[in-house]
Amino acid sequence: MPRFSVGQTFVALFLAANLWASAALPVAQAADYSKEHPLKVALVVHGFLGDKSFMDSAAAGLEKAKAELPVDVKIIEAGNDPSRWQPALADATDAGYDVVIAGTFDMTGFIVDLAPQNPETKFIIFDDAPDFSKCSCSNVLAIEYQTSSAAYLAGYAAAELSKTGTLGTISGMEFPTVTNFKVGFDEGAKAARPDIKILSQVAGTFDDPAKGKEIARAQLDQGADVIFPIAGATGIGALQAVRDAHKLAVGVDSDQATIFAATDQAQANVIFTSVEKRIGRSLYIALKDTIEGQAKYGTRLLLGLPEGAVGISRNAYYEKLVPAGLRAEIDAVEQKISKGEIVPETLLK
Amino acid sequence: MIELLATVFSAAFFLTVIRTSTPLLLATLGGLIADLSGALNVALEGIMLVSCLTAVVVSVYAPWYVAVIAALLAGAFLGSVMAFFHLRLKADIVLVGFAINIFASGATVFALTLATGGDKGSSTNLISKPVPALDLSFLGMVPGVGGLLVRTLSGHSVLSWLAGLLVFVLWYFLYRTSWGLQLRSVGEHPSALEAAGVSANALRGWSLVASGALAGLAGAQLSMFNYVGFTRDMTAGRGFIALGAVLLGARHPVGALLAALLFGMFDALSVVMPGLFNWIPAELIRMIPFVVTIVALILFSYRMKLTSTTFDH
Repeated sequence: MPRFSVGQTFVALFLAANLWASAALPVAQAADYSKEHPLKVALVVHGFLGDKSFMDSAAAGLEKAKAELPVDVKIIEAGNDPSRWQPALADATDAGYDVVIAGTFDMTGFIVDLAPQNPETKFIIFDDAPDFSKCSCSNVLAIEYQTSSAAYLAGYAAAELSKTGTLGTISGMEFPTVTNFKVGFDEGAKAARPDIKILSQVAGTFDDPAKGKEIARAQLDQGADVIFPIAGATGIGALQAVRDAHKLAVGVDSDQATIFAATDQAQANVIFTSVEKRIGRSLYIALKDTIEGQAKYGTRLLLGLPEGAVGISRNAYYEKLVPAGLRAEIDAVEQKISKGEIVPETLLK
Repeated sequence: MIELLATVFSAAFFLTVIRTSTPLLLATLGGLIADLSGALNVALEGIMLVSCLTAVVVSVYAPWYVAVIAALLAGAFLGSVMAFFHLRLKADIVLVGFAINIFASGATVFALTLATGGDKGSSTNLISKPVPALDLSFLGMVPGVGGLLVRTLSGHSVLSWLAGLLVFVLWYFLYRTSWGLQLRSVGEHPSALEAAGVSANALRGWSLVASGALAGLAGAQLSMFNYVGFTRDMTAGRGFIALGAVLLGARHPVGALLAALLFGMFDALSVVMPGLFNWIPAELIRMIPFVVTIVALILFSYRMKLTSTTFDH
């Protein structure tokens, strides 16, 4: 039979009181956030800002939320050392933010551990989802992106633009979030031209631009004239090979032509569109829903073309490199996908 | 299979092999000279990375050769830092090396931020210059084999030619000069050298500086030819592969050349194969360079065992 000391009883009472308080708090606060009493949000970046992609997009979305919603935003850069990611996330959780945001599968495990211990904190994980049936994550909102539907449009355009009938794709590694781009791209290309040939390669790294450049060169030598790298910095190397060969490329994650436009016109001139994963837009939607009490924590939110969370870049280079007829065709395909008349193959269901 | 052979024996494939081998070869020579002096340079990776960024940033403002020299000097400087901590302050060389690798990974991101005005991932908003490729199209005048000569010899980086030359220079230095003999002795038996009145520390110090300078050239080749620009951690393990290549090359300059070419060739092979054989899983193709390394090391140690038993008898 267990016996409790006086001290243990006090601790137990104290914990019980805390539990009661934390259970009561959300009810009191859920409804009204204002500029004086904002929703406090922390974004834990595992890495640094300035990647011109994922993290910058997330930060931009939070800036927009800060400007337009009653939200207070703190961005924490945890650096490149993976051993500091979990502590950074735990610190942010302890610091009393209402919502703690982190991204990609690198961080999912940490959130799954922290969520049950901090029921008063809400967590948003983007670009990955925990197994909700196995973890007690009722305070976690996972956001995933139906990138295959946007990549379908890019693949469709790439196949129509190809003169050789051969395309090339370069994946960084084979994760569902990476491969999902390729699945959609391949299907879109085949929808436009059933006889299209697609060379594909997995680089095995996201950090090796020299290797990316070699892979793209090899694919160009083997007849590809549109290359779609899905490989971070490795992909930037591939884009350089395409620039040097004056062929075409599809950017990934963010509008890469516009990023290059300021300093490297020759590079921007070959990127006719990019398959964008609009992290910022999705976080804005999630925070807006949170404030309005609409967000379904404890579930996964799958965002796609209709929400504008994914899409292809329609910039000056798109206008210049893609003929008007094809642009209209792509708009029609996008309509069909949004209406559900075309359902692109996907790894995220 | 015929497609593969046609690819492997094409001039384009040869150019790829030389291109991918060059940074490895330069770093391997750097690793070799330090290893022979008895100070294992595990910082090749970090030194290359710092030199990559130095080359890119300097080439924005200066001609390409100034950038290459700057990368070389940056490498030599880090080599001298290693020498200072290891020889003067008696720190463990492996720890010093890893400290430099960790420093390099963080410091390059910090310096990149300052150079680009806030970009922490890549130098895409800096207009950096490439190392020129040497145009040898005049060889086309050679009767008969002119076309072949142009296709295989023209278009390599200037630094590739330099790396080839350095193999010979290093061999001559190590095996045909008294300094070379001293350098090799200091790694084998430093006290013998001290007894002969030669400072072992000074020799080790200079070989670390030379090792850093060679790794610096490797960095310049990587960020001014293989890819023009800098991205975070772009050396991607090449410094560590070079350390392996030193051993695979039997700690000899010509061996280093062969080892670097071996790695370069299988790297190039793993790049062209997926396009030709889409039924082979990508994972298997990516394993090729590593499997080859292990096989080569086994064969090498087997041969060593054979020779040592012969000597015993």
